[in-house]
Amino acid sequence: MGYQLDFGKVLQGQYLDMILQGLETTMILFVVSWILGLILAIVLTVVRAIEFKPTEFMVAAFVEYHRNVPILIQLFVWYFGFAVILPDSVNDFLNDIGAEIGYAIVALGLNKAAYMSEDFRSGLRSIHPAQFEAARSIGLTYLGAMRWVILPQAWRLALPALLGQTLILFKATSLGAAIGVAELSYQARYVEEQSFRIFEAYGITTAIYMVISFAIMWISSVLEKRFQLRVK
Amino acid sequence: MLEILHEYGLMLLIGEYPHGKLGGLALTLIISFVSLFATFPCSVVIALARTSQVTWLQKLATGFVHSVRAIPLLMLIFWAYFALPMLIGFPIDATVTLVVAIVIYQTAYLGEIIAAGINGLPKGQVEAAKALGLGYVPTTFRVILPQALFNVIPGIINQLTTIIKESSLGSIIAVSELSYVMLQVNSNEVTKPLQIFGILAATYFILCFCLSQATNWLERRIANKRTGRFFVEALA
Amino acid sequence: MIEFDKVSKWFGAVKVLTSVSASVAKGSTVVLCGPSGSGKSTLARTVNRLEPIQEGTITIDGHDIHATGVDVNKLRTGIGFVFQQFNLFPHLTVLENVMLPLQRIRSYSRKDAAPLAMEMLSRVGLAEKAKSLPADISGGQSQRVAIARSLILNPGVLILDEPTSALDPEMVGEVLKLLRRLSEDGMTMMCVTHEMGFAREVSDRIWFLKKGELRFDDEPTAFFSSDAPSEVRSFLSAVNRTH
Repeated sequence: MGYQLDFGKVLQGQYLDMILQGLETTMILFVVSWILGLILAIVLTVVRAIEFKPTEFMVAAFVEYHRNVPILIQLFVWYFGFAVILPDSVNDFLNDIGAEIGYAIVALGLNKAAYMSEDFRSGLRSIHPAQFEAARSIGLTYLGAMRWVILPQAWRLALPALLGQTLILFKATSLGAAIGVAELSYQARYVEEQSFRIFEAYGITTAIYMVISFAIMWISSVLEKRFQLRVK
Repeated sequence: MLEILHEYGLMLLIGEYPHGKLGGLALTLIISFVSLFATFPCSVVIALARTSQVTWLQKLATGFVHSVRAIPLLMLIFWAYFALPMLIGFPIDATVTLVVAIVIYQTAYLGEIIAAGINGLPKGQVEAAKALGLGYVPTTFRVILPQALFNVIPGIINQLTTIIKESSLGSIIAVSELSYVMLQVNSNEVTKPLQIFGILAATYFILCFCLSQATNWLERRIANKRTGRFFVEALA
Repeated sequence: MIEFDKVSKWFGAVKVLTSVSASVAKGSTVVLCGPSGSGKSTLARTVNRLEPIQEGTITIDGHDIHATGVDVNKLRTGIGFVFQQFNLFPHLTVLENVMLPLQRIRSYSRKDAAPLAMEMLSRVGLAEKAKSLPADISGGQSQRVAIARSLILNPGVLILDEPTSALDPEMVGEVLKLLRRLSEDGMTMMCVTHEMGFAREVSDRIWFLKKGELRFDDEPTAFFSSDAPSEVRSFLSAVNRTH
């Protein structure tokens, strides 16, 4: 084979900086998209709970679009498509400040909002209907019943799915590379091209992804055990 | 939009063929189905290992599944694309590396689904087989797997939907599947990205939506067949 | 205390309750029984307005519960309701289940609510299970917690919808014992049940419903005597066969 592994070369100087910068970008992309997705998912779930056919349909269409179109394509639609709608001056400004990450955040955030709102919805649906009756029969108002009895159960039931989506989101940040976001896998490819150290560059980035993913998986299992809802 | 479909329609469907290799939607579908068929036996092996009584086998399979699930598919594709030819010694077509990466990735996920299907069977099935004196091989292949696989058919089709969406990552390594072809059309046309990517999104949407509707219908039919109408209503 | 005056309820062509008139005296225990589909559960559920009615009036202490301006939530705090399936809140401990009405309806702080809830749990004999989750206690214990939760706001009347029907036989006794004690302590109770032993020994009146009509409203001695109407006697012999 004639290939000498040399991790040292990659783990120092500018290459290390690039990798760490990529990691920082990945984490920013991950956290901001997650927060955006979660907030929007809550909004969507509330909107969907209102019995109004037009808004119900719009939310359903939103969810189905994001579930059936690949995330990569959703990124393309935002990055290539949205820029056409904006006037040139805005586009120039956005390109100057490195707007790719903005598009990525929007695309990933909306995508996760769609999935998470479905998780909330199925959490709500798996609550036994008699729970609401029991809450009302002790004298709680509709809002009181939702706040103290229904919603606490709903988020606990949705938690495993939400944590699963968190891991998926973390891995999906890698797709930002396709529209030029300088996150971890983008930097890995760049380092590889510059240093010709394929195994080392990809090996280190893979290791970083795995460490963080395992951390997410471990936190997930701790949280799931803590908040597991047992309904006999 | 219609002009784009009119002008590039054939290219979207089959790529450069017959002037070059097959591409476009046809290649997307070929990649997806080939990946699924290649994944299937591997994931059955993983599922059997995951549910096995042999501890080291179970731990090995668990390690494999957790490790693959901790890596983004894109990294796996990079590995396959850049490192695989070096390991083997001769260059490989990008499409093959894409399929290899997807197969490895999906073996882990589909393996988990099948393992869940196996674990979901009533324990009495294995006990009945043992009472009849059946060894491991007949028990597994004539009693357990047929039932488990039947029960997870919706899950398998769901993974096909996922694989179709994952094939779009081929565009990053210049595999001429649907998304890459569209990217080329876009750099050709420049001024109509919304229409172009709208068509692209719509194509995947129609494909995946129809598949997921079929999955839902199948889920209901299987539940009806296996457990009676009560559970069918619970699913609806 | 509770007056039913020509109460009727129907779903389209299906008549669930037909012109039911009866009254529950304060401090008395009334048992509702009858074949399935007779409307006995529905009648019990009309009192706290879980079931709406199409005709007639229901009054508690002289007040029409369907009058305009009646706050249904306030009405329900004055009525304790116990379900067949207990319906404890699974995300809260036993103590938290009993404290919930105090904290969220009466705005008690946790510090003030806890001792009152503990005292109620002691009354039902479950003080040691205060920190347990509903998933970890038995059916009989769950039902006793449900009863404690329904009594924590000192309602004037307790309504029970087949409280022991979902329990394994060996746990029925502990719940009936508690209900007997409550009855003897002077609680006004309406209890839908198949437990005829309980009906005979504890109730002050028995209401027998069939197909939505109140067919019999009298003291237990009359209900269990050989002079009772034939439909009552055939119902009793059918119930005895399964017990």
